[in-house]
Amino acid sequence: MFAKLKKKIETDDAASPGRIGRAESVTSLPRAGSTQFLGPSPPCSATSENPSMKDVTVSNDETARLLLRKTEQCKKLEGNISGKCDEKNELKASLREAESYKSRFFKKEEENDEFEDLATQELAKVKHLLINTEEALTACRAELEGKTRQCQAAETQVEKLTDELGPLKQKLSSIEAENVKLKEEVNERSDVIMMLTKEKAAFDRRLDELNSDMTKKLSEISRLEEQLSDLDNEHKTLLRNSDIQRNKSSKLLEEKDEHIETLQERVRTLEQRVSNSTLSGDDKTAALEAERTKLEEKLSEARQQLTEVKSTWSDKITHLEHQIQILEHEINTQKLKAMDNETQLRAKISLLESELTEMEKARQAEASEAKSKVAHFEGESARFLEKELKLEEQSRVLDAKISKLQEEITKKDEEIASLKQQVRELQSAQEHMSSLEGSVAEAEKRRDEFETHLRGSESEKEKLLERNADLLQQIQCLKSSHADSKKELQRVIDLKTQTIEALQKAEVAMRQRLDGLERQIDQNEIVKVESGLYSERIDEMSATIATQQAQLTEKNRLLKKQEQTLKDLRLTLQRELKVQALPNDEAPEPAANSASGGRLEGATGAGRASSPGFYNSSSSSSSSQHQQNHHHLHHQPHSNTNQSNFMQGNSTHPSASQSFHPATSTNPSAAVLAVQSSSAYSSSVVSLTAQSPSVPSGAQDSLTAHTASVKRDLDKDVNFMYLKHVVLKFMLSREAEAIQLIKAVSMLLNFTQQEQQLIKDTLEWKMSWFGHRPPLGKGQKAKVIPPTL
Amino acid sequence: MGGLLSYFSGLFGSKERRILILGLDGAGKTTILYRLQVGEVVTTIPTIGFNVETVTYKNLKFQVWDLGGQTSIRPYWRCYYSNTDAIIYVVDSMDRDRIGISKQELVSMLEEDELKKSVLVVFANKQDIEGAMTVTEVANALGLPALKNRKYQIFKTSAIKGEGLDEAMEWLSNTLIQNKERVLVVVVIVVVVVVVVVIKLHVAAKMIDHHSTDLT
Repeated sequence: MFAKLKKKIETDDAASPGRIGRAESVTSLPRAGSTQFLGPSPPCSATSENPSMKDVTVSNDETARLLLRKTEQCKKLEGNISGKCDEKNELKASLREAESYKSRFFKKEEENDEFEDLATQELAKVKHLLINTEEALTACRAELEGKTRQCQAAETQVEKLTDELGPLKQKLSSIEAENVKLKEEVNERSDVIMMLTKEKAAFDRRLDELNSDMTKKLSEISRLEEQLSDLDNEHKTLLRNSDIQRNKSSKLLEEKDEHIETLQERVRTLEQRVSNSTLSGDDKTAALEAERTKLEEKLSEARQQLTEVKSTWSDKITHLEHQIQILEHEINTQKLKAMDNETQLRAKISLLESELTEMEKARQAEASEAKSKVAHFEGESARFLEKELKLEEQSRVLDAKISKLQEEITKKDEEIASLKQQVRELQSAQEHMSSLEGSVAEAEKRRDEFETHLRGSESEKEKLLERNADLLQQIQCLKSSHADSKKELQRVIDLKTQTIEALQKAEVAMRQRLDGLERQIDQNEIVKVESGLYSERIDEMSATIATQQAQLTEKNRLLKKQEQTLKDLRLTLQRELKVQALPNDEAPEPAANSASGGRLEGATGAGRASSPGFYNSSSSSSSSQHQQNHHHLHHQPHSNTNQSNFMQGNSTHPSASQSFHPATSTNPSAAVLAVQSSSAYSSSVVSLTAQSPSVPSGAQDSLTAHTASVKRDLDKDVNFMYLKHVVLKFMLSREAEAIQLIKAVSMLLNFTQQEQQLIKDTLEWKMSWFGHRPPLGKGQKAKVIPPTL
Repeated sequence: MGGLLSYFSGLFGSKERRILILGLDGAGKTTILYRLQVGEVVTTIPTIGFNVETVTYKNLKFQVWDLGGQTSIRPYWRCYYSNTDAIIYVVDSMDRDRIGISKQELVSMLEEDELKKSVLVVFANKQDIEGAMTVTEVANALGLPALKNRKYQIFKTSAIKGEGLDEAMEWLSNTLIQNKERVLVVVVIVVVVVVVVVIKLHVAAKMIDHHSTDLT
């Protein structure tokens, strides 16, 4: 396309440089600058113009022709140019299109390049990943091959080891056989040992017997020794006895000798005395002296004898000593003899002992022989045992080898197993990968689910918010409606108050007028007194005054009614505000209904003929509106009855009104229940009763119904419940406790200070033992039921 | 004369102390009262009126008055203030919204002349519930630190679990005994003086009699 265009342009350029140049020169002669730009054209124009400058006149026609031609050419060229321009525009448009195409093409190409780049990058990545995985795979394979090779090697080893195991097992069996043989030998040897041990036991028994013999002999020896010692002792005692006996006998002999000598001397002395007794004093003394000398002689003799005796005694002692020595000698000899005996015995003992030792030796020798035999046998058995142990050790070693081989086998098995496991793990890893991918997909799905769930919950939340907003709106609506109702009621109250104010104003105005009139009257009276001419006017004036007063009373009545209705409205408003949620659905109490019905029946019998309209109006209005609307009941029946009564008050029979009074008095509940009703209420009733006696019957008729509903509302009122609670406790408590509640009761029932004090005094009087009863009034003002005592 | 006698008998411990339990509705006054009396948690209904029980603690008899705390019957509290020895003011530690109202009620109560000499014990009740106000928070919210010329103490209690009630009653009984003891000492001194004077007068009268008889 471009190539074609270029070619065209080139051909155009080649074909019309001169033409263009000429055209240019013609069209733009005055321009000198432009000629300079037309590179190829100036020679042509220069050649055409310069000579024309020289002979302008000559070639004017030619020039004109030329000019014509030129103009034609020009026209042609212009047509051409216009065509060209069209073409050019077309071409430009096509060029623009082409350029746009080109730009798009370039963009596409760029995009393509980018895509290609990305593709190549991705490809490279993929290739890289592939290479990596291939590498990993090859590594795994190599590992696997190595593992399989190892496995094979291990298996060959296992085979070898199993081959080795065969001869080893054979060896083991042979060794076991040897072991069995050796065991048998060991058993034989042990039998021999048993026999030998039995012999040994027999020898031991014999040895024991010998020992017992020896002990018997030893006991005999000891007995003999004891006998010997006993004999020795007997001998010694006998010797000593004999000595003593000898001494005693010798002593007795000597004593007898001495006794005899002394007796002889005595005899002699006595004989002398007998001879001397015959002599005189001197003789006597002489004789006595002689006697004395004799006695002295005797004494000396005795002394001599004593010395002699002493000497003899010493001799005797020496003799005795000698004898003792002899005896000692004898004893020694005896001892020697005993010693000899002993030595003999000892020799015997030693002999026996030697025998014994010999026996023992023999026994020992035997024992040693037996022992040596035993030792020999034991050694043999030990050797056998050693052999056995060796064999056992060998077997153990073999066992250990076997176990080792088995362990190796197991190890190899384990290795194989581990290799297999690795292979399996690789597989499982691949599986795990795939499962992970699956789990990823699942997770994504779950995420999507969660997102959807979230969206759902959000929408739910929004719904809830909307609902919340709706509820809020509803609450606001309710509030606003509540406020509206409040406002309405307030407005009604305002209206009523306004009317009251208006009425009051009217009343004031009336009063003022009345005052004015009275003043006028006064003036008139003065004037009358003065002139006595205005009697007629005065009458008129008094008549107007009377009418005005009547109007005033009417207005007053109306005012009071309005006030009452206002109060009712207030009450209802309060109740509505308190118990807004509770629907007013109940019909009036049946008791009240029946009471009113009964009363009406009784009343109709009495005064239907006189004023039926009155009863009808009162009964129908009260009962129908009762059932119709509970709210309006409080004030509308009032007004209705009041009005009707008022309207027909003059025409009603006194008997009818009288018949009504007992009817109302038979309904004492109204008075009782009216406790809580406001004082204004009751005052209004009182005022009404004061004005017209027939009115309260209708008013109280509605009042009973009203109080019933009030009572029902009161039951729900916290204050009333509180009052009830406190009063009940006050009544049921003892005086001491009840005295603490006086204040509360007084506050609840609006007692005055005096009443409060009265109750307190009464309670204290009841509590105390002495004192006076506080004054409680008498007659109509009595505050206590008088005691019936 | 009878009044004096009763006063003396009151001094010597035979007459019980009068205690009021006050606080907003739902603070747990009735539960505390019956917890103190029978030691058990009883099911209660909102008190429209009052409950009175005699509670014995450590040989001391308390006549405890639990007054209903609903808004419309709170004005009647003042009917029970006279001769009150102690006030137990119960606060719901969870009720952060109405602690201000509770404070107002407490302040207006303490301004009463009849309660000038009574001891104040504040129970920060419902401490068993998580997130309840602490004792210091309750004390500050009630403005207790600003109280002057009054013996008071605050305790954290849980009527349901029976925690803190014993400590509070211990403190209360000790404080009341101290108060009474001080008055008792004064009264004993006065009585002794009076007796001495009477005896002296008696002696003087006798002397005068003697004199008069002597004179006659």
